[in-house]
Amino acid sequence: MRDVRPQNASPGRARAWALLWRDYRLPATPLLFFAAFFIYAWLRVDTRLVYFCPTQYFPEFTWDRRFLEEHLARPGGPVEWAGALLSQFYFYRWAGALILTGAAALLSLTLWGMMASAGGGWLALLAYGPALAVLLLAARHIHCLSLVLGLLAAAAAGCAYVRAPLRGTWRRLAAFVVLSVLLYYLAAGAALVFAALCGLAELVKPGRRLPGVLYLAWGGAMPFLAGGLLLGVYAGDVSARLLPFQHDADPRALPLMLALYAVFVAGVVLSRLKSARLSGTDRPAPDGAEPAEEAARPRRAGLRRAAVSVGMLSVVVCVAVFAFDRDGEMLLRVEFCARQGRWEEALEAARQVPVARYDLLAGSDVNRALFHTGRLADEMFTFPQHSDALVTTALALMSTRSASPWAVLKLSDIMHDLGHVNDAEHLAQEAYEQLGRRPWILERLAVMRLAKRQTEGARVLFRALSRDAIFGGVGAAWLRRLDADPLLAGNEELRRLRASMLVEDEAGAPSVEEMLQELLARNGRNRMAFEYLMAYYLLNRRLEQFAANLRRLPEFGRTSLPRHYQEALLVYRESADRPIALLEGAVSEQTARCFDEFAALLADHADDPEAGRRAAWPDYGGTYFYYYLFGPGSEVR
Amino acid sequence: MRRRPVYVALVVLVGAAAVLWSRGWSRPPDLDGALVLEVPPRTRPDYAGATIPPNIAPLNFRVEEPGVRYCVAALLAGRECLRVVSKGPEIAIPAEPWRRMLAEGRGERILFSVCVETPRGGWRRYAPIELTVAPEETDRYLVYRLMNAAYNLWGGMSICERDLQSYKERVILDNRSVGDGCVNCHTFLNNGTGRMVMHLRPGRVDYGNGMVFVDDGEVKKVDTRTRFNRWGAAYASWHPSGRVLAFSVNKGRQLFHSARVEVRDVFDLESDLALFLADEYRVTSTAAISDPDVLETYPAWSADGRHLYFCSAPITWADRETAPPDGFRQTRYGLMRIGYDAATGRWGELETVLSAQETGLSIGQPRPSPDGRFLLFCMYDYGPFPIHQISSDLYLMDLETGGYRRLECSSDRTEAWHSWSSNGRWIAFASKRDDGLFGRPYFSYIDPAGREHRPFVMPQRWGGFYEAHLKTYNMPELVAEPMPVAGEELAAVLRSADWISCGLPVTSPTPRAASRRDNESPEGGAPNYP
Repeated sequence: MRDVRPQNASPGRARAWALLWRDYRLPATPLLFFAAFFIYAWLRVDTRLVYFCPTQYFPEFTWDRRFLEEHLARPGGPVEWAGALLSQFYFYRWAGALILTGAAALLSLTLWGMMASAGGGWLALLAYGPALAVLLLAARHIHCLSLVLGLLAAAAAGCAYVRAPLRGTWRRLAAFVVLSVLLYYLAAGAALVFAALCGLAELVKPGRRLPGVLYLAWGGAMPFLAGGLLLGVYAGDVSARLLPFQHDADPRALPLMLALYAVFVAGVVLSRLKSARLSGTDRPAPDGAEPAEEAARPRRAGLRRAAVSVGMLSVVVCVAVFAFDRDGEMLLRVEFCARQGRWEEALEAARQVPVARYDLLAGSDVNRALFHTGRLADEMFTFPQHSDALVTTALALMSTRSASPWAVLKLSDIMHDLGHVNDAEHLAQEAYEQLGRRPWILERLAVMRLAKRQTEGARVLFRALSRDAIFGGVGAAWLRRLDADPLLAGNEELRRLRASMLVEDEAGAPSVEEMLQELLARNGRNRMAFEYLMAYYLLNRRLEQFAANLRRLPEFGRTSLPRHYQEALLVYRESADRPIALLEGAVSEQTARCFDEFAALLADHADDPEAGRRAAWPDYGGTYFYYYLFGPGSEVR
Repeated sequence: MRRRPVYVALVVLVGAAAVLWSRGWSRPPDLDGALVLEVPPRTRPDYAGATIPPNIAPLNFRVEEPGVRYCVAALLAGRECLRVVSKGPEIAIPAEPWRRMLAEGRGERILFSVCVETPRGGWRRYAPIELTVAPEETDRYLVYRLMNAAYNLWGGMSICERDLQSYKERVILDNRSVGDGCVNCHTFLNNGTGRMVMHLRPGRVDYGNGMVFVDDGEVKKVDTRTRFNRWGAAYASWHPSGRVLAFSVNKGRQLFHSARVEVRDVFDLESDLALFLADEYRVTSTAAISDPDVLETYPAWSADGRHLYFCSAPITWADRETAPPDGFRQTRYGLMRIGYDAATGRWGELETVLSAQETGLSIGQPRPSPDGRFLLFCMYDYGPFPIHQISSDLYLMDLETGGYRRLECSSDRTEAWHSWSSNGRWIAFASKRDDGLFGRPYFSYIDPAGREHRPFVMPQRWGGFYEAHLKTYNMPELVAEPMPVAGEELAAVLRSADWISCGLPVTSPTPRAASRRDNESPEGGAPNYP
């Protein structure tokens, strides 16, 4: 940021232009800073992970007239609409980075604009505060773009108010009232921030305490007058909308957003105080001549700039390195890759998730990824497993409002892959209730309708999808295909679903085992149903049922037993009450040797099973023996 | 500075030209040489053949024929009353000429002549679309619940009031303003808003569970649970006197089908009927409508208030906790009625109006017409919840003869949640005929002879409104006047007011059938609860 002088002199027109240029020309340090910010946001943050994250805090958006009208009809709606639209472009990594950088740069610019009257020095550092807060939000994958845009609108209006060459209390008051009402319509509760900034800017100015107090009072009362009494806005939204206190904001955003507000308040107050001090002691001579001290400034400016740059760089590096939530990123990446069917990448990301952060949702994606890559029966126990990770959670979850939309959507994904059309539709609709019109939910619902040959219902959903900012083309393509063939009889995916969907109706809540068996009974070639059923038996250590179903394996083209099945057979033989003879060649020599070594190692630690577990983990942690013996959650962390 | 007015004028002119151009007013359409087709144009919505009330908003529609310009003229008795020329297929009919045309055309037919200029040039004139304007108006407002196609979880839902003479929709209660609770079952007295009830169930924030009673603009929260009825009020009906509200208490459960087209289903494990005496804040009932071995639901008062109609089915399962109960697909409700004297509170005789054995179907949602002549209800395969039954159709019973028939305005998909206009000439109902997924509000004219006319969907500002609209319209109720209290004014009371209890504290042990009969008055009249 550049060094500036007090503004209360009365320069001529040319001098005013010169000052303006000095204030607003683009200096190298901010340019470099925001270029680095963009590169970091682009290459490190990856906004696509936020876009694909099934959280209710990500706004829905549609190119729909009613959607726009609903937003334009309420305070804060315009900024929320803009925030929702911009959020969609998080789908493109570079565009998301650009949006983050733009928001950060504009916030910094507005703060700097408000502080410009106080000159440079250490205060100039404060102008980077908002950018750092945005960086922190991005590094923690917290999405609250609408809140940031609301603050930006408030800060821009505050900057306009502070910088406007308005003379006279009444003019300033009128400008404040007009701006605050306009801002309330655009950004609802963010108008409070504007009032606070303007009020504090006036309060710290000598002789302007009364306007300052009036502004603060107006700022507090106006939302209730305009929103509550005139527009009938819901009381909870009257002043909290577009502030982090709004009930549907991500609670993780609250501390950082409060820090953002604090930076603005501190910037305005400190700059005003400094400005007042400068104007009292450092007033330029009437003829425009610089005081003697001014002449010494350029000599110190280089040093100061260097110090500022080093300090700033240190803070930025600290934030970029230490605040980045890498584990969270990997969990989101698992979801991101699984959503797009990039199974190998999903597995790669899952391997980087520490065991302590590994959860059921990641587990269910991993199992799907393993199935789709044909490795479920060979590698599933190389990942942390839990009996619920296979089909995420029980359907009983649905009966509570606390069901996580992420879990619900995940369960819908599994049901879709299994070919359980009605459950996939049901769960997708539950996810829709919480997440709104996310494109993949609309597509899921529509495809399920199509699987049931309900073309008209599918059309409504595809039309809604065609109005999506990013996936509109997908919806339009489906509609074109439907025009050509209303049942899409040749569509491979629909053929699979129609072949697997249940035809005998039940209205109860079957267990996972019953459900998988029903699917297998409907379509004996449903490989996923079979592998999941076997995995279900393994996870629940029901080896009798596992062994009984092994006879079906050749139906799926397997000529040899997968690794985990071999391991399970060995465990089954050891744990059975009666002698069991395994077919020759069913278990490979390598697996048999591994089992013997595992048994020997445990025998060595017979007096200390916990030590045995720890000793077995490095070499046998990925075997079914280990899982069977030590159970879920027994990974050494 | 002196040039500023010139610039302003220039901008205004360019803007006006752009508007005119966008509306296709660049040149008048030359229709003389139009190619005449004998088929009507495809439109969305399809209003062809419908009978409409003279006080309905313009039936804007979209012409689904390819073209570069569209010209639609409305003719009444051969006279052109309005003309719309558009560059796009959306036809927005001007309100004032439309209103005048309908006012002049009561009981007449109007024709929409649709001409489309093809991309190659030249106009095509399609066979006209014919509509009939009924002599009688419908009630001006329609109140409905707007919601997603919800399963277990619900997101945003609101009870809205639509002015049918325009497109104005007002939110009566948005569930976001009551902690994301479930708001449902709005029930009005005699198609007015002087007395009405709706229900509130807790969501993210618990503001309680009970009935919202709006009495002449004053909002009260009533907890209708008593020792007798453990659950709150559900489906309700006002006695014409306004002094008594009949309501059902349902121990309902949602079920999900594994292979049916409609996944959702609702079933009552138990249900009874009771009365809320509105002036005394008291709940009462009688054994005939609250038999513990019978499911009683959907109460509806006759126009004269002397009978209470309701649906009932025997409970055939022993386990009253587990859903789905055994044999629920065989549960079919019949139509019953019981006499009632509102002045004395005495109950009369219980009669079977139409038995399930006779119809082979389940009867739901009986609604007597305001003139007392007809009874509108729906019938479907089984159970108590028609909106989730594809087989649900509307039926009309002539109460003088007892004869009934399926209304032709029913479709091969679900129809339910019907209501009458105050003059008894119009019915509004939710229909899934368009896509099988979302309920849309439809209206049908019932002429004095009881014949239904071709229905039409509630008009919207633009024709393509419903094509991607992912909300379902639930329980469309016709009312003659706007709600006296709405929005935040209503929500603020719901969040803050105390619940008025109708009975003993519900935390006390809850007696069932035995104590219910203990509480009954010896002469079979209304039992007295403290």
